[in-house]
Amino acid sequence: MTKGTAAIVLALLLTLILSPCSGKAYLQGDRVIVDGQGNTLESVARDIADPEVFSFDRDRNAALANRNLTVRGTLLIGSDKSADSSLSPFQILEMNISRCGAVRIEVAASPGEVGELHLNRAKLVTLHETDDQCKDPNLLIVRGKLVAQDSEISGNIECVIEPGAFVEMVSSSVSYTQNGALSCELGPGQHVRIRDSSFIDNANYGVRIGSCPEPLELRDCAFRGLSADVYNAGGGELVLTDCDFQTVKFASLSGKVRRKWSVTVEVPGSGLHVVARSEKGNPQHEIVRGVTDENGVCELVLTEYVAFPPKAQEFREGLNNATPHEIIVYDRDEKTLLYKVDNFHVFMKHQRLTFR
Amino acid sequence: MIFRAASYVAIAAIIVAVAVVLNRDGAREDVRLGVDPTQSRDRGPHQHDFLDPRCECDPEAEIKQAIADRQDYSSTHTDLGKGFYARGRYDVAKSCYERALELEETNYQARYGLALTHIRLGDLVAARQELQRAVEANRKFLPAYISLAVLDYADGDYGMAKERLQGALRIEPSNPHAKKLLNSLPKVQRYADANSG
Repeated sequence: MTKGTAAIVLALLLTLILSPCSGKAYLQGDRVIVDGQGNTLESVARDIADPEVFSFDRDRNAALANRNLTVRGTLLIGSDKSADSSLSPFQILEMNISRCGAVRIEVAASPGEVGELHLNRAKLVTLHETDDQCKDPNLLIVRGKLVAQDSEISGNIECVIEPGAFVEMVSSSVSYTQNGALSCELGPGQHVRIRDSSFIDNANYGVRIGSCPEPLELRDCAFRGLSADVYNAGGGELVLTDCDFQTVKFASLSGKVRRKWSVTVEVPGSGLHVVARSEKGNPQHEIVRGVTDENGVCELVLTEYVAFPPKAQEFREGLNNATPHEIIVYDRDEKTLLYKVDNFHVFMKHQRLTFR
Repeated sequence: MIFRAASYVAIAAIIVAVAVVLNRDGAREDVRLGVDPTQSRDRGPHQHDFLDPRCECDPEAEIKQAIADRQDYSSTHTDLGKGFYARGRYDVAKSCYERALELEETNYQARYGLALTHIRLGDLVAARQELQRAVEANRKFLPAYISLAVLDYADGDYGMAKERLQGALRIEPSNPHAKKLLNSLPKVQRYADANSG
């Protein structure tokens, strides 16, 4: 064997070692570990090969898990994104663990290895969801990556986002929880993008924010909780844009919840400068600028109010308000005044301001 | 030369073996992470205070009972709709209001509830239609007038909003909500034509 041949053999072996492992699920203690790439509910059931632990019913497109799950590799529940997912039926993972609050689905992360859970038209449910005596939460703990689209998590499964996790959640819901629907403990520079989703809890909070070194923005979301729709427990800043909630609570004397709304401004002309400014005398003040596009449209995101403790608990209209705004439209030279609107209140989604 | 090649293969085989062992033995990861997945999450000392005001009632069961008891009553479905609406379950609330209207087309409360649900779901056109029907069903139903004015406000039609609010105040001159909205209407001023086109 020449030196070259040996090098090729070595390179092949190293490629084999370093290439992504194919999926593999196995039972470790009382948990099903999902490792490697390309796992699906069907492949997990095949790998486990024990219906008492994990089974998949192709007719129902549903898997039944009698053990908790830890995702160390990738697991896709639902349809592949390449398919037209809007037409595909939901795929279901049923967690069949009867002990109160004992369900754990963990998306793990460790140095050099990040678990990924992809939910695409998926339903993640507990089979014992109607047991109202159970107030302890089942948990979906995200330390790695969670990507959810058009999916539902229900049956007292609280979604917990931990520091370092990567989260993309769109058009999804977490509901029927008994302790809280969404809980965030975040670190610096973390990617959390949640849009058009709802978090509905029957007992405590819709969203709970713990540590949060940077403002966290959630858009187009609905939050409901019996104790509070939004609970700021860690003193960070939560920015809720076009969101539906009614009550805010704080655990300490620090932290903010900023409520914002997007407003569409329509002006006959492109490239015009739009400036929105909180009116004098408002407790909160902001200036937001924009430029109209080729259709004469400019979208501004304006603050209605900033809730902060302790007054937020006795929140009254007008308290901490940044609205009403004055909205001024300047010509392209940024000097010639074209239009001005005084006393413009932002208070709901889909507001428009049209100059004719 | 052969000896050297064999030694490369041997080293590679050792690497493969080590990788396989590390890959298979998942327990090592928990040691590195210090994670005990069976342990519940630490919730912090303030959590107990937060839990105190928890309501022990079960609205879901009450609702089911109500459905079983009075299935044919439009007003029951309207009440159910209100309950689901308050809890943010707008899709369910919508179904309840629609069922209420199937049973009693002139149920203006259900129309109003359905309109508010449409607003929450972002369908302002459908909301406006339902509010107009609610007003047709009951000409003195002030909340529908005011909600229509709010939609006009949101749509930037302040003239129409003003008209509706003045109409509402003719029905109930002391209505504080209508008065407040009327006072909060924006004032639009036009200064010059845009140089751009």
